[in-house]
Amino acid sequence: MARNAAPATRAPNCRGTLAFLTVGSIFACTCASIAVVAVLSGCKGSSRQAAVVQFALSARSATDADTHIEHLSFYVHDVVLHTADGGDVPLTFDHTDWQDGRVALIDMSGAAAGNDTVRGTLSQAHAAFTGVRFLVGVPFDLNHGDPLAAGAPLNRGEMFWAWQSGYKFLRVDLSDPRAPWSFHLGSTGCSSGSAIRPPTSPCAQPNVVTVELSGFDPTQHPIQVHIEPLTAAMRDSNPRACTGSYATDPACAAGYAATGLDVRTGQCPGGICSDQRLFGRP
Amino acid sequence: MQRQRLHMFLVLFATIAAVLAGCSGGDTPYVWNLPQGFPQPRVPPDNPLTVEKVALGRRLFHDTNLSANRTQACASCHQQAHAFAEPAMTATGSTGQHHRRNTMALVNVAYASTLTWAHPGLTTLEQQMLIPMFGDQPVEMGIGGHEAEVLARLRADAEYRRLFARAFPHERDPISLQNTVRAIASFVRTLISFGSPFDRYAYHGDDSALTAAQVRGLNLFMSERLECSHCHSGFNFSQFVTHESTVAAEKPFHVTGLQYPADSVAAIDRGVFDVTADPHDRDRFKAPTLRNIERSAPYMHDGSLATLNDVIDFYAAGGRNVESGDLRGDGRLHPDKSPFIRGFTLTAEEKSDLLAFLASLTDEQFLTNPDFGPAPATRE
Repeated sequence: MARNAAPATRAPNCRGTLAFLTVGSIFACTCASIAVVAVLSGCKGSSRQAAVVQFALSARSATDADTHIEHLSFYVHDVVLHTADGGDVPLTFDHTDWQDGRVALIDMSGAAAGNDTVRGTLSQAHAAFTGVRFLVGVPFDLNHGDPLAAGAPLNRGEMFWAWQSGYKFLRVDLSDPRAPWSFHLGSTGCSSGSAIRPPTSPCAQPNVVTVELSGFDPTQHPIQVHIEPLTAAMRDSNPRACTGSYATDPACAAGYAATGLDVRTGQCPGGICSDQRLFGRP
Repeated sequence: MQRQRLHMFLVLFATIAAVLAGCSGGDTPYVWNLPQGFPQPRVPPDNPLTVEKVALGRRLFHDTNLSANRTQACASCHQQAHAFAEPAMTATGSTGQHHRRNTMALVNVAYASTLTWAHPGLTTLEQQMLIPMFGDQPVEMGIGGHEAEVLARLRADAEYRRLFARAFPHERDPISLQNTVRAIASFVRTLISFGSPFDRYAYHGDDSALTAAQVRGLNLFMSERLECSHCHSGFNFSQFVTHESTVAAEKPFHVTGLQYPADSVAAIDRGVFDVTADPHDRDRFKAPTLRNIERSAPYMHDGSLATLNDVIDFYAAGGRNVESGDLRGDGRLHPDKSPFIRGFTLTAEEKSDLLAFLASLTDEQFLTNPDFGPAPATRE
């Protein structure tokens, strides 16, 4: 069920025109005509478009009577939509209870008070899109502040990862009387110069997942979230928890494989986690 | 003359004003209770230590309302009679989940350069405290996801409204989790112990403070034969000390030979390695303070040694050979074991002298000081 709640508001954004005219009037009349032409073309080019990208738990991820998703949430940033002609249109996030201008929290833990959408504005209007790229994680410069001083969506205690001095980027906890498991992903090996300074160099393992999906319009159809690759990976792990401790890396290898990250480096091979199986097209 | 009188008047006026301000709450600097000549601990510049914050932190530290299900306070695991540790191998959180580590004592932690058993990056109590408050592996206080509920409890309490307003007088809405952390950290910084018989002997020149056996034990402790004081060094008997006079805080974590499991056993606590991924950090842990050590049994990061007698036997053997289970492996052969843990032999009398010395680090006044216990009931 795509929730295309954002009617493509193609209202041209001509706020720039007034400024342009004001500036233009300062110049001689000969310049004015040039200014008007510039205004008209600028107005046409800056038609903005509200857009919503939605996530949905895939049917395959459905749990049975004994299992229950205790927690399923993740941070998303740097969403870029692809157009048929090969263009990239970045989504500028709105400010809501679930996202600030740069990062959004998707919470599909099952509670009524969750959030499955990223809302924003595109700098250019397009009738259709053909794919999307997004990063699962929190931008480095936002990941290491005092979480108690942060605003939404970085103020959620369930996502604090205090012993790693940052946030969990992805948190999945499954209760299952036979084999409960936890998979927590976030930057590891982060060290700072002093107690009151964030790390100045990137963490040893960033563990940011760059996801690239194509073959559908992500503003019309929701991105599918699959947890069954993790369930399969964690079922045979010992311990059944992959929560950021390097000692558990051997047990984490299968879980990391589902994210497309290299378990030894925490990087996407080649910059994009093309082998990830957590997110898919409808 | 005239000017001098004016000056005196101004000083008097300022004093009266300060006293009045103090009465209505505010920023009364906390005066450290330190023996003469001892350096003051460092305090984060954004959380200056005040009497008002300490008073608030004391109440919060002992209040079970801080855990989501109202069953645990900080003090539930950090018990004063046990040097703010607890007599259990490992800790249990408010929801019954088990921690893999032994509760650390809170003794002179204001001087600690790093917090917890094995984390080079946790250098302030304000940072460290987020783990028991919000951690979920395991759940301890369980505040994550229940922030609003916990704050509502504090806001509904008249005494907290008063204490927060006094502790943070410049804030319009002082009841926040950030201020809760600042206040608890402030209280914990005041848990200072320098009143043991050893202190009277060492720092006050009182020769009668230690028995002859304790002095013999002290000499053994400091000897090259036993090498205890290489890691348990300085006035806190821990290398992990920072204060206003230290330039760069040392952060040496050590392999003691307690464990040397196969690297393929993922379920084992590998200490600093879990945080840094440096293979040489496997099984490195902090040498904790030995102050009040007699009262904070059991010992080691996993609480696996029940008595100080066991601890001495362990170091005398130069490590531990675990013959079965996940920990299977000969810790004595750990490639990164501290060069100071070579093993030693002690006569029965020497061992009893060493134990007597360790008991001289017990500060009864610290363990019973009512200022560190629960705040008295309010008048309301």
